[in-house]
Amino acid sequence: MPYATNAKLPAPIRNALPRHAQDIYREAFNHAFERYGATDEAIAHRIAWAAVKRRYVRTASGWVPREAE
Amino acid sequence: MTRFALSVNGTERAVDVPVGTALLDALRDELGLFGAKYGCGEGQCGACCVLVDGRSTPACMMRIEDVGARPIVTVEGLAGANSLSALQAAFVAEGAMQCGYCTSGMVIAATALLSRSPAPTDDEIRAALDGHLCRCGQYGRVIAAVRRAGGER
Repeated sequence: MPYATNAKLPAPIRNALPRHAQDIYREAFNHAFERYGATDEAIAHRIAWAAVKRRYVRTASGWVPREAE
Repeated sequence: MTRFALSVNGTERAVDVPVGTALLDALRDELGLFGAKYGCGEGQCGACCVLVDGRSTPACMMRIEDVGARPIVTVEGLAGANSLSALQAAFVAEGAMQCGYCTSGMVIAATALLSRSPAPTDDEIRAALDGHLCRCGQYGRVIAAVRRAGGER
């Protein structure tokens, strides 16, 4: 189901991603859910992760913006 | 602790867990349903997928309070009393598993696919299973199994 605020995001997202990355995840998820959610919620999560990974990368110290990598 | 009522595999169940608990933890730790697996814990591998209101959903990403009255079906709920579902039988017939860790998630995603597209094309199968990671590399056999199950309908 769509997430109204970042506080409503699943704990793995809230705990791992910086706030801006959470914004990206939430917006991408909500739009993908609108398009695909009626059939498969997992797809919306995958699209949201793909959107995050365009701007952020996972490093040993956590998720950081790609330009700061 | 808060009590939550869940409809799991056609049975009404109640669990006492803290608000914010992942559905996966409730299924495994409280209800003893170990079919859905903990994989990445971030909704990226598909090993924990269950059907929530008929939709394939990563259970590690769904908070228990968000489930509400929607029915949950885990891989344990797919088979009949004495027989596997057609899809499960097709997985066995095609040998579409090796270690089996990803299998329950794949079966759940394929079940959701077959419910909306009874005879899916290979492209539809690949799209539905995209993101379900299999470290044993059984993708070809999984696709064959779903194709077989679709053909038997």
